[in-house]
Amino acid sequence: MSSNDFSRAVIENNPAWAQLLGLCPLLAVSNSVANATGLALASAFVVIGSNTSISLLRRIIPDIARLPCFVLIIATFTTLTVMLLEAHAFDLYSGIALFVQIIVTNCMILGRAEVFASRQPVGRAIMDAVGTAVGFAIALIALGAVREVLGQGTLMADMDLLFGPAAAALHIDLFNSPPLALALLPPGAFIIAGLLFACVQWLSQRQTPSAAEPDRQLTTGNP
Amino acid sequence: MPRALTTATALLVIGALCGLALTQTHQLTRAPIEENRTRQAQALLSELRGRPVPTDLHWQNGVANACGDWQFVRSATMGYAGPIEFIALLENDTASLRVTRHQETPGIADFIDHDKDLYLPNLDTSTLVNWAKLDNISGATITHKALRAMASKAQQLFIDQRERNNCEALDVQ
Repeated sequence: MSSNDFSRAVIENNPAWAQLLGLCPLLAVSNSVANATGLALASAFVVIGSNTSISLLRRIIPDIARLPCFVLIIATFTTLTVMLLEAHAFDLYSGIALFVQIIVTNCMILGRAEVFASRQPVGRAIMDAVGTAVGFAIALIALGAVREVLGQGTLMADMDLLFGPAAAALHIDLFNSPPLALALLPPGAFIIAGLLFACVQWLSQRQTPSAAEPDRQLTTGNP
Repeated sequence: MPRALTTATALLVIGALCGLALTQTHQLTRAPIEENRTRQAQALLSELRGRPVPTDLHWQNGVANACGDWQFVRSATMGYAGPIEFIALLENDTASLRVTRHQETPGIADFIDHDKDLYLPNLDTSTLVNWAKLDNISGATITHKALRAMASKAQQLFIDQRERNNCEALDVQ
């Protein structure tokens, strides 16, 4: 059951390409693989931590005040992420600080808390959170890779900001000059994200027409 | 137990757990965060000055070395999307600026970020008169207004602090 929760969260109900949630940080921070990976890890920490906590506390969270409780818990994990990043990955934090702080408003995380974690036992909530985090990371890093290659002509530059000096060896120079500088700008992010999401939808519809249908019940009502 | 009391107790428990997690993490991360901020600030001041600056600068009302030949001023002005924090180096009639924190629109106002754009480093040691005449870039008019205000505010803070410290009298002695 839990592995089903995981695969549904990663593919069928992927927050980015199936539900179009969390697009603000997705588009803003995906200008390089390093930034995208940093935000993906931060979002994963928040969604896994908050889903686990909300599931553990679901019997004492008052129904009448459940949304403020969810937001309080998500805000706590976001603040913990900010403090840990600022302490241990300061250079990366300086680049993506604004978008780490607004993880708290990411409707992907609040959505999973409301429709899943608050109604399911801890094991299922964790698997769903891991699936959501992996799905979001795949979308974020794929978009980051395409934008970095087109906009900067490199791949995995500045990974040392995230994983230490040894990761600087991952840097690959693909082009001497950027083939499409527009890719780094907000309009480029919208265009490339749209094309990538269309590609994913087309592939999933070709493989299993029924599996490509996102969970309407879970997406209804989310902004 | 009345429902309101149950709800209040539950909220208190959840609030206390969140508070505990935050205070414990703050205790663990406070020292490295402070060290990182100091290192970043020191690097920025040295970059502005073009040589290493003393680590024991004495800041008064946002001004360091008020009575010396050069001064650092740190403050903030309002930009398009919120306050823009900056550090300025004043030397004779010239000023050099670096933005340390801002919330301006990414993409449009990236030029004020010295890590992404050479716009501000290229204006280093411009005279205060030239800062006041700074041209606008299309789409970032309010951000430019903030840059002009920064130079002006830095100068004013420096003059105020010199008066408070009675620097003229010290210079004469």
